[in-house]
Amino acid sequence: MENYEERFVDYMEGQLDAAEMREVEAFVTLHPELEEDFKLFCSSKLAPDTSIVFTHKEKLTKPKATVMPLFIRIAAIAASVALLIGIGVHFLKPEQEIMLEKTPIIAGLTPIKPSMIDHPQSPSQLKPTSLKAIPIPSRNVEIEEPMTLAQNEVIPTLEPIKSTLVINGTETKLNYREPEIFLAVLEPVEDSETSILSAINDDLYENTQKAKGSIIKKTAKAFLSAIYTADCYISETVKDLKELASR
Amino acid sequence: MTKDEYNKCVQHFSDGLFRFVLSNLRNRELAEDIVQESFVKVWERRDSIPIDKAKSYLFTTAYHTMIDQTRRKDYAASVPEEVAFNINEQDGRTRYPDVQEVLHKALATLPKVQASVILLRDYEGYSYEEIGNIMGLTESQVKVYIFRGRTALKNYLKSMDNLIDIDA
Repeated sequence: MENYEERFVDYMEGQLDAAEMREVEAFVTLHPELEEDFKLFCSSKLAPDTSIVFTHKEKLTKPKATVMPLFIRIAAIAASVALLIGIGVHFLKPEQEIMLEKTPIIAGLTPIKPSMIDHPQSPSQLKPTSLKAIPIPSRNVEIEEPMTLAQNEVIPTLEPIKSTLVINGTETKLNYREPEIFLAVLEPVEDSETSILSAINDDLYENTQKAKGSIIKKTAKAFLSAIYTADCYISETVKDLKELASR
Repeated sequence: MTKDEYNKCVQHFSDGLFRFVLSNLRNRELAEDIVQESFVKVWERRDSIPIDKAKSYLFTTAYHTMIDQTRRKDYAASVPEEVAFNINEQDGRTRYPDVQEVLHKALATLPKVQASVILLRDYEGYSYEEIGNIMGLTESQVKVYIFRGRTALKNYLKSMDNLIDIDA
């Protein structure tokens, strides 16, 4: 075996099959002077020192993407819904304030009917509302019986004056002049809350825009109505003062 | 390769890669830099590197970076040995070296290409073909370098008078 060193290397490298390995072993047995070299070749395999480690792995690793736990996601959605509702309420609030402030002024001229307070659509019981100005005709009206108003349209703010008074045992008919003013009337708003909530589920962006538009429109409407009401109230007062002066 | 797979590569391969480079260069700081640089390159090209090729890509990158570094400077001459496998001292006590310590000292005397071939073969268990791919050699060239390296190691072992137990 001329190339016995190569065969020894192949042997220790595991490059030989079983028959070739036996051939090499037989050769070494026949040549004991080569046994030391054969053993040294077999000992020349390096083993890594596993105590040597790369100690800066943290410099190489990349941070994991943060996975938001389910309960946090739910909380986030709940917070968003609460925020949207909050915004909605914030926009609608001025309308309610206008309405609540106006009523006592009108009531100053015409006492509030007790039934109004208990009315199913009294301010405290209503959902977000808008104001609607309803002109009341200025003419002398003979009121035969208490005024009745269609539900959901007008909250009666006029105390109907009793059509008859008994003075010294004599029934006297009274002419009642209804003031020519405009009354603020409560009217339920169409599903503003529902539209905001459904907007979150369906098409968040588009529907939110719509809801916002609705809120802004209703706020503007309420504002204009309030100005119109105040204007009418002032002109009526001026007219009354002129009448008084002419007397 | 995803980010998770890359992070697993760091956990599984950085130690082996570091030992390979350190055993070649015998300079801890430089070896750390080369390992880091190799992982940076893998990260940058992760989209085009499948996970099953990541290890050989790392070793290929590290090997060529190492060759570039050693061409710029003669580390064997200028850089003092500062790694483990110090033969006579450990934990402040003098002791006899074992075969592995002698072998690693012998490795330092080999040409870089032979040392790298032996290290990839023994540390990582790569086939001749895989070593050829990493180092840009043919399989028969790898076989030749293996033979030359083994012969040099055998001769070094044979020359060591202080080798206590060759069969250990």
